[in-house]
Amino acid sequence: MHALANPARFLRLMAAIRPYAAALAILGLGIGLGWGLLFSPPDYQQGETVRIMYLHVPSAWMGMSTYGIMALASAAALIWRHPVAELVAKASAPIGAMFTLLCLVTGSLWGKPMWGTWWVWDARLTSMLILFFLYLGYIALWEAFDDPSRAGRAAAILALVGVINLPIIKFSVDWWNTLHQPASVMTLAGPKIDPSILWPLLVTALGAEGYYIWVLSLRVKAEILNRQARILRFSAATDRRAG
Amino acid sequence: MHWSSLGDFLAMGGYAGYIWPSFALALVLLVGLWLQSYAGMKAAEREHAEARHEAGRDA
Amino acid sequence: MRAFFAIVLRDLRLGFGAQGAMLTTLLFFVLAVSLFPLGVGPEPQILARIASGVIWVAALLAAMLSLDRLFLADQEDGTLDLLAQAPLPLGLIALAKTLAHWLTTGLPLAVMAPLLAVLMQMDTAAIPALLLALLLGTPSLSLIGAIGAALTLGTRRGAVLVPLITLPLVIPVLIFGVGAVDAAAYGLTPQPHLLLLGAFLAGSLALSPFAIAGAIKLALE
Repeated sequence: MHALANPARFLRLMAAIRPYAAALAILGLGIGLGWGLLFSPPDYQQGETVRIMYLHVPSAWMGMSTYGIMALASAAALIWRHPVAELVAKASAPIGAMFTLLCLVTGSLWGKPMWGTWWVWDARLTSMLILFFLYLGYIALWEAFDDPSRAGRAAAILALVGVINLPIIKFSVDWWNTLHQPASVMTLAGPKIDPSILWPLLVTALGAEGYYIWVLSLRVKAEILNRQARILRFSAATDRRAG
Repeated sequence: MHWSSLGDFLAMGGYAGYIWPSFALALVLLVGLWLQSYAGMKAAEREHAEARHEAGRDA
Repeated sequence: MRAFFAIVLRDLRLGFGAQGAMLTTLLFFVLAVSLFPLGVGPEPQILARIASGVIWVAALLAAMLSLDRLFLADQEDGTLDLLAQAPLPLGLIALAKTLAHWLTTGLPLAVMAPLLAVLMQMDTAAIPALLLALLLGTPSLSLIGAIGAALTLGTRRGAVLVPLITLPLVIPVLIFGVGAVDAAAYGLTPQPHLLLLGAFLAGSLALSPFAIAGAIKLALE
């Protein structure tokens, strides 16, 4: 962990990992989604629309797991003053937000043929919507500061408050949903998980994690280089003024 | 393979209007975010090189 | 202890004064609730059905209004720096200011709510539950809102940002708060919901001072 605190070493590590992450992403997403589209069976009740699940469920997993990683990185940033950790958190947020958005829209498209409406306040979609707001608030907080180092630590506090609150939010939304949902309604949990469905889901999810690492490596590199450029420019300016 | 013809595959049992836009959006978002991240990295590389060049000049 | 109450009293005087938060908060609350019959139509059954939700959402928004200035005024005139160096722990100072905030916003909102419940044709059997739920829920709003207020101290758009980052975090208060009122309206006991609100408050009381103090220290660097 502390070895990774050195930005240069972190960049080298990321550069080494990047090709493998890219391969995992392309293969995982390609094979998983291709399998889902071409080989997996349709659902007895939902017909072919169940194929949207291969996008919807992995996106939901990614939305949640990315927030978890963001929180872990934020904790590292606050506890150990780990300079790269807060950049990992910052870089993760747009990726998590993107997957959450994809989850919401595919949920809408999946639900429309089933329920006739473009949006349904079921427990998962509602929780994902709140998670989306949490991501947006986090990103907005980063952007609101002039001083990036202050932004990083404020955002880290927010991420930790969010992650502690998330299980409570999920619990309250699940409870709220059972209260208002008539008993006979099908949820978007999809059909029973049978291996012919589970495997494409897992492979897609694995590919999505590979994608996350790939894109994260690009974004963290940009953050580190930008930070170093700022430091270089700042010290050059002060040298000029002194000299 | 579940599908007997390309036509069947594209029609998706009548649900093509929901399934293909979903996959298209996924493609757009995944590729789009990757492109934006890649462009950001390239711009940062340029910035960094320039800043190093300037700092080297003033030293 | 005396220092704690000194801070509470000072903020109370500011809050209850003419430029204080209380009047604008209450006015917003009444106005926001009054918009619904105008927007939705005056049919009693519809209003009664949405009354609990409308009153709670309006209370949430009203409580958020004055949050961004919670620490800002003190930061601007240097008081916050002095407070941070005082022997009283920063977490306790934060609690003192948050208590004053609640006394000038959440508590008046809870007291005003029964009147608005009547306007919204709420079943009178549910009004005590509404009062109790708001009394238990609004302190959590102040506590979590104070985290948001402290985090945005160094930013330029704090007023807009504070609701954005705070509202998702207080959704459980909304859900259980409305649940308590609806349960009472249906003749069931609101107790489980009130207990959950109490638990959320206990958790917020225990944990938010750390987050608030951390954020204030960050802003004072």
